[in-house]
Amino acid sequence: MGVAVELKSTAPVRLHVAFACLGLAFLIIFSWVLFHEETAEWRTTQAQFARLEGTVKNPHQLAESARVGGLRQIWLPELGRVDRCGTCHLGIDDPAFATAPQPHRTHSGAWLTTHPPDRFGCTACHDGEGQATDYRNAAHQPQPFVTRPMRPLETIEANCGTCHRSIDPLDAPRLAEGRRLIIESGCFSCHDIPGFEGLTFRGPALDSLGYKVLPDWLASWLEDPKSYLEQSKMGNFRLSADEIASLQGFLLSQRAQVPLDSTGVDWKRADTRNGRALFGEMRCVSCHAVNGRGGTMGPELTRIGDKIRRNWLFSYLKDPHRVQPDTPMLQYRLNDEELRDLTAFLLEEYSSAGAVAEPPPAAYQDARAIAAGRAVFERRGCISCHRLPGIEDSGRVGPSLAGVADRDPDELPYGSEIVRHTAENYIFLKLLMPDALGLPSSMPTFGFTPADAARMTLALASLRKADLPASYVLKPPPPKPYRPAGRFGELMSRYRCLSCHSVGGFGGDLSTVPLDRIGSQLIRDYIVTYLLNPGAVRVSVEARMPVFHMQPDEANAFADYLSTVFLDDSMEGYDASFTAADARRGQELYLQLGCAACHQLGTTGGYVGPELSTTGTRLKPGWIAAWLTTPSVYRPGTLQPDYGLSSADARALTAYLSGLGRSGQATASAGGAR
Amino acid sequence: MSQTLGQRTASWLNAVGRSVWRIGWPVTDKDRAAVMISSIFLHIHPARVSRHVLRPSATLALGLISGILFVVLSVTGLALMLYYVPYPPEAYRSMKDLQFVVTFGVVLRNMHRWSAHGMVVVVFLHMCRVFWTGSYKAPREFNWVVGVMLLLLTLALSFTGYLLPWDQLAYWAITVGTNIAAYAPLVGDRLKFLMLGGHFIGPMTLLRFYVLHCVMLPLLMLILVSLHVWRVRKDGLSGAEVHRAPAEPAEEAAGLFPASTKTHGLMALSRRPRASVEARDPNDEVFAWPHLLFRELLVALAVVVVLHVVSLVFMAPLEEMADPTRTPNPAKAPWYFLGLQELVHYSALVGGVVVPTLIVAALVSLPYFDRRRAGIGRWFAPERRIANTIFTVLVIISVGLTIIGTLFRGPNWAWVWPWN
Amino acid sequence: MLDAIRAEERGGDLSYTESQGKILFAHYCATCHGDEGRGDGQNASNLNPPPPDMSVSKNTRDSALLRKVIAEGSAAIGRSPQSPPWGRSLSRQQIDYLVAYCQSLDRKRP
Repeated sequence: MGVAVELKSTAPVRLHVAFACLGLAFLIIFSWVLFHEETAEWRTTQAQFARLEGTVKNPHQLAESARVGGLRQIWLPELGRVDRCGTCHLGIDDPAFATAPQPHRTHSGAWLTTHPPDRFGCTACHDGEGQATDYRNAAHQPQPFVTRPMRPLETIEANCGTCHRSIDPLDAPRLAEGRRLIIESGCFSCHDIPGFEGLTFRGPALDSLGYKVLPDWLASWLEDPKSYLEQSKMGNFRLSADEIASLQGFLLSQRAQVPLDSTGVDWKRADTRNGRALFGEMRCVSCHAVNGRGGTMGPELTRIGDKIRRNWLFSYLKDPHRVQPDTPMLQYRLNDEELRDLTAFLLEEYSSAGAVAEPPPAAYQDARAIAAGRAVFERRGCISCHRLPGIEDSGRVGPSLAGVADRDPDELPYGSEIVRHTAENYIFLKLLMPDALGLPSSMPTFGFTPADAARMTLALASLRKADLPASYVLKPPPPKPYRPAGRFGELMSRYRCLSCHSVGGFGGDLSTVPLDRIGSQLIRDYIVTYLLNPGAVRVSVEARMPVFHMQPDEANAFADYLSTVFLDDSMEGYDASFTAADARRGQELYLQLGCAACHQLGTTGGYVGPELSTTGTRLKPGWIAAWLTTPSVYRPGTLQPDYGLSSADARALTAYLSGLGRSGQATASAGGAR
Repeated sequence: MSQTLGQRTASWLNAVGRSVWRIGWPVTDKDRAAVMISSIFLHIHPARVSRHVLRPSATLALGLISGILFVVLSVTGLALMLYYVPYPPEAYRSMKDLQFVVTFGVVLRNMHRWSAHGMVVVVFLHMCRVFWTGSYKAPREFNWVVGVMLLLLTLALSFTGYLLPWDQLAYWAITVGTNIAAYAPLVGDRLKFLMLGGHFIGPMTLLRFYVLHCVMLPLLMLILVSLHVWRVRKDGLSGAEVHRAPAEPAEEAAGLFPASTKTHGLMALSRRPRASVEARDPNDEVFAWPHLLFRELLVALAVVVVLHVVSLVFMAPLEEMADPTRTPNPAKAPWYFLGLQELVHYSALVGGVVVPTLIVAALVSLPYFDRRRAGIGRWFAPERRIANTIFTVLVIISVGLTIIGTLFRGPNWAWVWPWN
Repeated sequence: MLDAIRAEERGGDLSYTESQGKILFAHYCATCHGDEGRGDGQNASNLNPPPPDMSVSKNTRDSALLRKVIAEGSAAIGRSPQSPPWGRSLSRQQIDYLVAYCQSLDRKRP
C-alpha cells in the first residue's frame, strides 16, 4: 500500500480565479433577472397612473378609490379570452380621466355602459393579444405571429357584426351600409353567406328573351353591362367574343312566352306627349331611374329604347305578371291606347339612336351554337340570378363565405398589390378586381367604388369561423312572410303593394309608411281618395306612390280592409271631442315649438315634413296624438323630434291639427297632386 | 468544571450538525476519504482520482455537462409543470401566460428550451469523444450500448417536449416526425397510431406526449443514467488507464499476499480486465475532495452562467396557435431530425427508415465487432486511424445534412440560398 | 381597405368620433344646415332666421352650448324654435359625436 501523495492541499490559483469570476457573473446575471421583473413595463405604467390620480381626483375621491396594484385580467371562458388590458388602462371606466393622456384615458362614448367589460372584455371588439402585458406584445401594432392585431377604429364595426347579426345594427353605420350593399348586389346568389340565408335576388327571367331584346343590345350588354346601365347590378363577366356570340344565340332562342297581341294597336297614332304625362303620373321614376335620378328597385330606363322590342314592352306594361310572376312591378289599369302612347314615348325618348326600325326576331337554328351557349350559361352560373326553365339550379357557383374573415392570409393571392397580407385586404381587392389577383377567377367585375367595396368588406369581415355562445348573438328573427288571400290578396298582388310597403317587417322599404297600423293612422275616405289619386305628402321626397288608374271599387275594397284589419288598439277610441280652447292652445304650441320650420301650412313653412293644411281630412286624431308624443317608437330615426309633450299639450296640438282642412278653418289647397 | 452558556450552545449546535453531516468539513486525509462515502450525494465519486483525468482535455467534461443539463431541465421542467396545461388550446394559452404573467416565466421557459437543445448537442459530442478515445472497447462495451440508448432517450425527450407549446412550429414539426416514423414497413402505421394516440394530432396526442415527456421518459432516463454512471465508476475512466504501467505479473504469482480483487473506480490501473487495488500508482492519485469536486462545481457554474446569458438574450420561439388547416411551407421537423428529413426527401424508405436503423444498429453493435484493444484512452490514437476516419466522415455527413435541412431548404423543400 | 374608408370619410381629416358625427349630421341636420353646416341646406331658404354658417361661427367653440342646443333645441338658448330638441331621440353618445363633428367644421380643410 502506498500513501496517497497530495499534489497540493488546494487547487491551483487559476481555478480559484475562475470560480470567483463565474460566481460574480452568476450573481450579476441573477440580480439582473430579479431587477428586470420589478421594472416590467406595466409596473411603470401603474406608477404613472397612481401619480396621475393625485392630480385628477380630490382627496376624498382618492381615499375612496381602491388602491390598484398588480396584474388585472378579465377572464371570459365562454369566449375563450383572457384580457389583461386593464393592467395598464386603469382609468378606462372612470370619467375623471377623460382628458388624461393614453393609456390612462377614459373610454370614449358610452360603449362601456352598453358593453360592460366584465362580460365582453376588450379584445372582443378591439382585437389584439389580450393575454399580453406590455405594449408591443399586446399587438397594438401588427406583430409577427399575431393573427389578429388591434383594429384601427375605422374598421371596428366589423367586430360589432360578429354578435349583432341584424342587417341594420345601431350605431354601426358602415357595417349597416355594407350589409345593405350585399343585399342590393345579391352576392348571396353565388356565395353561401351566413346571415343572408333565405334572401333571394333575382335578375329578370330570360325565358322570352328572343322576343324581348334587340340582338345588338344583348351583345353589348354581355360584353359590359355598365356600358348600358351605370347602376347595373350585373357585373362584367369578362366573356370572350366566342362566348358572347354563343350565349347570344342561346339566349335569343328562348321564346317561351309570345308577347300579347298588339295587332289591334295603331302605332301611327301614338301620342308621345300623352305618354310623357302618363310616365309622370305613374311615377315610374320611383323605381326606375332615368338619367341618373330615381329609384333602384327596377332597371334604369335611360336607354330602354336601345334594348327592348316594342311589342314586348307593350305586352309587359299591360301585364307584367304574365311574363315574370315574381316581379315587384305592379299592373296598372291602363287601356291599350294609353299603353300604346306610353310605349311609344319610352322608346322614342329614352334611346340613343332615336326611332330605328326593329329587326324581326331571327330564327336561331344552329343547334351546336345553342348548345355551346347553354354550356357557357351553366358554367358561369347565370342560373343563380336568372331563372331559365330546363336548366337546373345546381347550387351556388362561388365558394362559401362562412368564416371568410379567418381565411389563411398566406395562401390567398394578392396579385401585384403591395398590401399587408390580411384576409380583409384580400376580400377588398377581390371585390374591386377579381381577375387581377394572380389566380384565374370566374367572379365578375362589379365596378364597386373603393368606398362601397370597403363597406362590404367590413360586413364580410364579421363572418368568423368560431361559433359564439348563444347568449352573445343578437339575431332578430326573419320577418314572417305576409301573403294575404281573398280579394284583398288579389288586389295586393296586382298592385304589388308589398314592393314598397311592409307588413310586420315583410315587404319593401321604398315607402316610409309601413302598413301595420295604417287603418288607425288614416281616415278611411282619405285612403280611397289617395289611392285613386296619390298626391305628394312630402315635397322633398322623390319617390311617390304611382297613379294606379285603379277602379273606385278596388280603392274601396282596399280602404275597407285596411280600416278594419290594420289597426292599433292603443290609438282607437281616442276621445276626439275637442274644445275651441284646445285648438287655440294647440295653435299657440304650433308657433311656440317652431313646427313651421319643417312643415308647410298654408303658404309658409319648410319642406322637410308633410304639408299640414289638410291634416284634419287625412289623419286620425289617435294617431296624431301618439305620433306627437313618441315619434321614434313608430319610426326609429325619424326627423320628427320628441318634444317631451305632456298629454295635455299633445291633446291640444291634436285638436288644432285635426281641425285643419275641415270646414275651411285654414286656408289650404285641397288634397290634390302637387 | 461546568461549561459557560456559550460553550454549551456551541457544543449543542455542533451535535446537531454532526447528526446531519457525519463528517464535518474535511481537513485531514482520513476525513477527505471518508466524506465521499458518508453522503448519498457524494458517494457517486471515489475517494481518490487519477490526476490525469482532472485535465479538461481528458474528457472535456461532456458527460458531466449533459448530466448538469439534465438536472437543469428537470428543475425548470418541474417549475413549468405548475403552469402548463396539457390540453389544447389551453396549452398555447398557458405558454402565453408563462411569457406575460408568470414571474421569471420568460427566463424559465427559455432556459428549458435552450438547455434541451444544448443537451442534444452535448450528448452527441460526448458520444464522439467516447469514440475518438476508444472508450467503448472492452470492458466498457455495455456502457456504450447504454449510452446509445441514452442518446435515443434524449432525442425522444426533446421530441415529445417539442409538441407541448402547441403552436404552428410544434404541431407541424411533430406531423413531419410522425410521418417519417410511418414509413417503417409493416409496423409504420401502427407505430404512428401509437405515437399519436389516434389518426391525427389532437388532444390525445398532447396528453400522451406530455406524460411521456414529464414522467415516463425521465424515469427511464434516470434509471439508465444511474446505470451509466455506476458503470463508469466500476470500469474507470479510460484516460486514467492509459497512464498506467503494466502491472508486475510477479505480484500475482507471489501468492504470499494474494492480489486483492477489490477495485476502485476512476483508477483503472492495468490492462488486465480487472483493476486491482495493488496495481495502483499512488503518485498519480489525488483526493476527490476537493480536487474533483471543485472542478465539477466550476463546470456547473459555467454551465448555469452560460444558460442564463443565452436565456436572457435569445427568446424561445412561439408562433401562432396550432391550426390543422394551415400548413406552413416548408414544414420542418425539429432541427436534430432535419438531417433525417433531408434523407427522406431523397427516399422515404431508404432515407427515413433503413439508414437510421442501420446507423443505430451499427452504433449498438460497434464494441462487439471492434475487439482490438489498441488505442484506449488516447485521442485519435494512430492505431485506430481507420475507425476514427470512418466515424468522423459519418459525423461530418450527419452534421452536413442537418445544416442543409436547416438553412438550405425552403418552400416545397426546394434548394434556397440562406442569404436570400 | 382602410385607406379607402379613410379617404372617403376623412377627406377633411376627421377623427373617428368626428366621422361618426358626420354620418349622424347628414341624416338629422343636413336638410336645414347643409352637409358642412354652412347653413345652405335644402330647407334653409324656408327658415327665418336662417341657420348660421358653422364653419365661421364662434359658437361651435363652446361644447356645452352646442350640447344644449342639440339636446334642448335653439329655443332653450333664447333663439327661434326652428332647431328642434333631439335629446329624447338621440343617445348621449350620439350627441357627443355630433358635438365633435360640429366643432370640427371650422377647421381648415387640407
